[in-house]
Amino acid sequence: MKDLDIKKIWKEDRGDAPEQFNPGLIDKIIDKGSVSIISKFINTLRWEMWINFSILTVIALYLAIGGKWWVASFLLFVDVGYFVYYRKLIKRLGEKTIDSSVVDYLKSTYILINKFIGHYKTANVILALPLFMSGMYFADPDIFSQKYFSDGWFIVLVSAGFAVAILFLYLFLYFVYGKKAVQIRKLIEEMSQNENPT
Amino acid sequence: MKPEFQELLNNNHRIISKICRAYTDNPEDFNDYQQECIVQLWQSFDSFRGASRVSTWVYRVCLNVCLSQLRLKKRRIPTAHDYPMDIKDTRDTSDEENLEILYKAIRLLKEGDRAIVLLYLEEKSYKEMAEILGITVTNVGAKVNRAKNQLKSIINERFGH
Repeated sequence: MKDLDIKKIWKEDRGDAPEQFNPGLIDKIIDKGSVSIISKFINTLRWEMWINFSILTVIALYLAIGGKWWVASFLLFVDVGYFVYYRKLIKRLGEKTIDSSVVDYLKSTYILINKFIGHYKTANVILALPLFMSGMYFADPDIFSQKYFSDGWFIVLVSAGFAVAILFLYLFLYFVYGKKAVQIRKLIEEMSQNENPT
Repeated sequence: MKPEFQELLNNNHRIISKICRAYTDNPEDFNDYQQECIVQLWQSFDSFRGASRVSTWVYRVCLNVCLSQLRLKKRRIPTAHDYPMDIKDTRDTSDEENLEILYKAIRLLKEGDRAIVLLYLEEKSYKEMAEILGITVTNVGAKVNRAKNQLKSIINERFGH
């Protein structure tokens, strides 16, 4: 096929038929909303935000009713902090960049995916350890006593279990989102190849 | 939906369809890509201030949707024809075959190169291509030549044309 032929063939493609774009169908598509990776992040975070908010508020109220004011106040403080953090993160993810140039959009998508992954990595380390410890404490209030911590095997097993859980979460994040980020990074590199740094 | 948006789709459905077809040969994915393009165009329609040409804006949005390769499984709205690759029209069979070969060859290119070739085939100027892609005009020139040669060699080697 000659250069001219390729263009000629291309021009003959009239694209999809206009009935594909009838108003009734378009309305339905618009009502369903976006299912892009970023929209998925936003939906996930919204769920997380409200679940965290509800659980922490209920626990704080329970503690307040039980007269544990200081702990309840601290928990409420954390609760509000989380809420504000989530709101900001969701707002940041929701910023519309789809009509940016291709390279700019891919860069912003790459940053957002990494931000989302970073959110889970941080939450994992910051939240998982105290939650894990609290779980152990509720199972046996003597957990932090000399009885357990003098046992080297106990410490090794707990640490190993925790490390394996973190490793699994990191691997999960990589396979679900990290691979996507790598793919987009490669695409950005490919597109930006031969660009003069300014 | 605003009538202006419907008009925009009527005027640009060809672009949307062609870009989506260049990024997938799977009919389900094609519809998903196309539907996501429509949603994204709608969501940014109000913020489009006409700083660039409408077609430039449509290309940007659609390429961004396709290049960020969605994982679309949830939404399935049955469309007028679920298999746009099997469109039967008055075109000559050999024309349709040639077109299918061309699309197949385009889909064998790297994702970034596909965008370049699409814009080249749409006869966009280097300046407009640079504006859509976010790279320099010089770089566009180099990439167009490379992608064009790759496309030709794929067509020759794989499809014997």
